[in-house]
Amino acid sequence: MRHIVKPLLRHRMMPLLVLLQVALACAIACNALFLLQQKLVPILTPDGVGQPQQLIVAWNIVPRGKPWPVGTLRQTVSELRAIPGVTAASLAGSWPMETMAQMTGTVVADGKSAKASAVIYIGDHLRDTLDLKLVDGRDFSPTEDGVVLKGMGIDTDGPTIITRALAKHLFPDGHALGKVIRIGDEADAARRTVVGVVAHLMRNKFGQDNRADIDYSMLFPGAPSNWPVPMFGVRVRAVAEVAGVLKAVKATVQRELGPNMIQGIDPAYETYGDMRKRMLAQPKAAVWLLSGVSLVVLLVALVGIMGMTGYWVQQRTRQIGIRRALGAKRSDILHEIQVENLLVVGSGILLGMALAYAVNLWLMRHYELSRLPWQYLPLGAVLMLALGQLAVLSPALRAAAVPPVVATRSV
Amino acid sequence: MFGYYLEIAVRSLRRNTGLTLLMVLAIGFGVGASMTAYAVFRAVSGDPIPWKSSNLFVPQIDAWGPVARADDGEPQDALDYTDAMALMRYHRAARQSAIYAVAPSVLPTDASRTPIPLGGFAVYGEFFPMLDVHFEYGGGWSAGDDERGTPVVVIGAAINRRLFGGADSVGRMVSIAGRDYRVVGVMKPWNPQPIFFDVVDTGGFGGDGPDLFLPFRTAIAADMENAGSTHCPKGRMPSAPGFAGLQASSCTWIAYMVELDDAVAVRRYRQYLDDYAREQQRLGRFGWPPDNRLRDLRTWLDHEHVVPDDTRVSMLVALGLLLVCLLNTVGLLLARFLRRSGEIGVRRAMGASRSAICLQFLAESAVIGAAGGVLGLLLTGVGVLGAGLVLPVYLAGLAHVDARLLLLTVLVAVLATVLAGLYPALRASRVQPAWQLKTQ
Repeated sequence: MRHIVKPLLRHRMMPLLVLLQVALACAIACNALFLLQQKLVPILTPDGVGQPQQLIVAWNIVPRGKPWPVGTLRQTVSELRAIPGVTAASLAGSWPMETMAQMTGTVVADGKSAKASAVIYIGDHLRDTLDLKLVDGRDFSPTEDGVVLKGMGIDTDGPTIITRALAKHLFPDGHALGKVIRIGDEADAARRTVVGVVAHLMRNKFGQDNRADIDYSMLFPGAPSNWPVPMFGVRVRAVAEVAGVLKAVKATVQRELGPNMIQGIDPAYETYGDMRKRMLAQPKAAVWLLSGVSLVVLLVALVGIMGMTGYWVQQRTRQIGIRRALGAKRSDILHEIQVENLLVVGSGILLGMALAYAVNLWLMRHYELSRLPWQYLPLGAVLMLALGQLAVLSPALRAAAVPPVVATRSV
Repeated sequence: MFGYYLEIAVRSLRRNTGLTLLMVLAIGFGVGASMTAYAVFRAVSGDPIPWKSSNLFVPQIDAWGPVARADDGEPQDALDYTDAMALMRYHRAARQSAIYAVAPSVLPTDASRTPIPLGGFAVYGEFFPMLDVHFEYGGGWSAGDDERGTPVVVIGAAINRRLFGGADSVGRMVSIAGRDYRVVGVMKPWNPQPIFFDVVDTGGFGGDGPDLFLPFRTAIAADMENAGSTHCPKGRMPSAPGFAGLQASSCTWIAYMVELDDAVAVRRYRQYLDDYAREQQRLGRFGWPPDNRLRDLRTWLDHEHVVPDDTRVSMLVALGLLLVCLLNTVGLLLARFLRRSGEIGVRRAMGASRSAICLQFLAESAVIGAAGGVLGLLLTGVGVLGAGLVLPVYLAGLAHVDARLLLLTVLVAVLATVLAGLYPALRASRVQPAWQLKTQ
């Protein structure tokens, strides 16, 4: 070992540069990969909505003055339901992939300590229109869907359908059906009884943090009253009919609600698939950007290590020749160079981990980022070690190929 | 002499194209990434009113109490109607204005008679001198107009062109949301980004600038609804429906800005805010001790996260990338220069001074840097175009390539590479000529 460490200490500059470069690359790659993974979560999480291209959503419908009475909105939705080719339609207060209106709150499993931040979607026939997969229990009954809620219904008792992830979190024993969830931690909070469990339903705003709760959603049946921004969802029987139904939806909403809309704010009509694409465009682009940056950092580090080790080997050509003449085998030389690289890159990684952690701490303090999970550190270490060995391979092979006769030349 | 160095540099770079290309690529990518991130960052982090931002302040009053606080423990970032009106009535700052967003439509006088939807704000007359709004014709309205709720309006240049063909329209009447208003001023084109006087409603960016401004009381009297965001404390929704209900509620929807000239005035205003809250506590309206804020404009924009976190983080990531690339360049340049120790020995033996050697290698670094800069330019151009994919449209639209950015890109590339070449060049100039000649 001594014969490997000593030359490193004598000619400090080259190994030091390699070390620093590895440290920086390690710190950046760890953090960039972590950010990348965070951006991937909403892209990879199933949103639970079936056949996204056959779901038309009408939103950004803003009344002039007072909100529309529930009767008018109910009338509109029943006319939407009557459009040929429509299999289900909903009047809702908020919608997945639409952040104009969102209802988020802390919900508590009654009688237990488990609580979670969940999103609440309120509307009628939501399970049908969203085409959510029911995995347990039942759908809301027509009577339940027919309720007119006071305000948003947050303070009203009643039934609810929740996602499997939320059910697992609140009721770890696996029996969510029939249990009560309190909406808020006050003593007089509304109580909602779980009647059904659906596979997935994503929250409408995916923040930076608490990725576990991205699939924590609840459905409340009924129509919200005095709600200023109603939304409509319309499920279409076949993709071929979407264009025609979209036109009819526009005409219906315009006819029923148009006269009382605020001038200058036009309603938006889109398929759910397009809304999802729009909402995910940013995280998707960020994924490209971050993976691009990580790749460039790693490539640059690779090239740097290769170039510097190449020079380092060339410098010592004669010493290598002498060692070969004195009996060292080719494999000895090869291994020596590789071990040397391992030492330098290894110390670089140690420094890089500390740096990665420090950068993450700093990012956490100044931006809404979560803590770097420790798993990223060994992952980054293995990655950098492999990279170092890959980079050193060609210079090491060149060194091993130095013939002993070099030692006899021009001393 | 320097020209000669450049010539040698180009010749030596040609000799070893592979390594040269690698260095140029590294610098190009590093600079390209940083400059792209910088172009976006520059677009969103600028001070919208640099000559005055330190005198403009946004007061926040804790009108909901500690229970209704958000996670960050900060009071609401807008005022409710009661507090905003009280602050206006006491009138303790040099200038001040309550602000809320309106979206009325205007009926043009031409044959078409189709209403044009507009975006604007209801403000007080002091708004215009406070924010240094420049007028093409006329000016703002008086304090008397504010008090009486006179139907007057200040319109933007674009809307003046549309309604009056760009002529001096002061004194003319316009029909806004069914009522007649007299034009008192026509602004010069004005579209500050971020829209600093009302970031809560606008999110900070977007639009072609406000179309019109109306007196606050006039807009309230005309029942012109709030077109911005409204936040209500949990469980305390307006008891009465509609706009009147909103005014009576403790929901917050009014932006507020004050101008304070010096530190003493700031201290006094802070004291005044606390006194006001204490008075409200005594009157029983607030059940908690005062917890107010008075942030200057820059701190306020920071607090509101006007610059998206993603933008800042990508700027940091890009800077890190540049750093790695530079470190890489130091190593590669060192390897490159020291490989030519023989050549250096000969030059030194023939009389070249150390500084000459040093200068020669710095010139070589500069050439590499310039080449990297040119590549960086291309990548920056591609990057800024591609930013549209990464960023919301309104932000990407702000980022643009201009001469300053191009110059900066090349400058950063060359300077950074020369800096990176400093140590390798110094090392190269220290090569012992005798030793080199002997080993050859």
